[in-house]
Amino acid sequence: MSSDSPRYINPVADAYETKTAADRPLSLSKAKIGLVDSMLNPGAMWGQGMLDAAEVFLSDKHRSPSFERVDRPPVGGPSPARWAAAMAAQYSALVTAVGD
Amino acid sequence: MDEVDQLEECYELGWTDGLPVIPPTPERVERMLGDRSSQRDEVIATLPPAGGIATLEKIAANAVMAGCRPEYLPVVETAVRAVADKGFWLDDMVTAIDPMSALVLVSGPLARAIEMNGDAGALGPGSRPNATIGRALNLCLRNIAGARPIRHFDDRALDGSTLGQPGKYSYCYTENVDLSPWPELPVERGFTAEDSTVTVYAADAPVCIGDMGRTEPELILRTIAESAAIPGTTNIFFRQDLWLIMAPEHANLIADAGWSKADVQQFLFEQACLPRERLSERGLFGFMDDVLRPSWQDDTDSDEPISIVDAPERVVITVAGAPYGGYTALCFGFGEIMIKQIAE
Repeated sequence: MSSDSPRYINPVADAYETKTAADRPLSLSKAKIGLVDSMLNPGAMWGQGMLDAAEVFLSDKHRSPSFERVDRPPVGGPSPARWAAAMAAQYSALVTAVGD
Repeated sequence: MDEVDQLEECYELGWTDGLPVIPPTPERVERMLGDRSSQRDEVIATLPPAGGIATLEKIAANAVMAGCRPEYLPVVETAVRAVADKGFWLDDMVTAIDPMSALVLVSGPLARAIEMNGDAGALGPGSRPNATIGRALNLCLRNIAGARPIRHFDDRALDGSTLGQPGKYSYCYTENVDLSPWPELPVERGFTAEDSTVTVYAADAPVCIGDMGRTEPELILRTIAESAAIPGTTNIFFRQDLWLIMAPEHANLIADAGWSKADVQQFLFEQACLPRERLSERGLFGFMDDVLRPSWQDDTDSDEPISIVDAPERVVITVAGAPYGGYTALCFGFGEIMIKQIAE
């Protein structure tokens, strides 16, 4: 082993899977926007409060968007990929409240 | 740099589970890889949630750190493949707030060849393959999948478990094939007795249930069923696989009375139940909303109790431990077991 060899083989991943983001809409004017409450405890209504704020913010920033509250998928429901595809077919953008 | 400094350096680099590790020097990793050295860059799996690429060399480096012998590497590699399978829900296991860890069962001729322990203390310390194979998988999850507690506050620290559990160090055993009355689990699920396999399951820590002095299968299984039917587990919420480790005394008393594994599964499916009204007021059902709520909650006319699993075959039965002692360990958890064959 030469003197400039590394002392260790790094056990930590040095490459990570890259995921390509979906195309972004050029404008949200007159866009149909889905609002999803995906908080762990939706009964506490924290997520709905965040979505209320997002709705106000987006209405101020863009011309005449429309909003719909969307239920998150049930346990054992459609796969994430199928659900995401269904959302993409219905809405120009989706805002999800998470974080508790 | 002396050996003590190397241990400290590995800890400072954030590579360890808190216990000392064998520093993964190039020489040691080379020895671990053996005649597969030229395959070191082969991608074995991508491990969520971080999405780290697990090459054979990365797995070997973590196996070195865990204290594995080179002949354990195919087992560790297969365990990595198993948890990476989308059917295992590794993403959920790592990021969830409950304490699940990857329970590893090694089966078949290779388990015997590397002298895994399925006898006394199978889940405890003292057996090198049991201790280090499970630890190597957990180190892979830590260093490649991002399974480090969230308190580290960096984007590769994604283990959201509120409490964690000791199985996140190591959780690995084999069945006691000499004393088990039934075929090993993978044989029951379609593999042959000549296949060496790794089975993984996202499990909470084992809960040992004692029932001694009785010989009637119904009475022993009733104790196990009533111990399993408790409201605060993830099992009763998702009603997926429930893993049992039955000591030989229980297994043989039951089998000698003519019961098959399928009979035991059916009995526990029917008996490990909770009244639906009581269940709705307890455990994880506290944060149900209209979308997440299970369909049985809408069936208000029925007073049928709810089983901890949604089908008999969800009860996963393995046999391990010493020949003495009437115990069965319940490993609560979620998702489904995943079995992978070890490449010879």
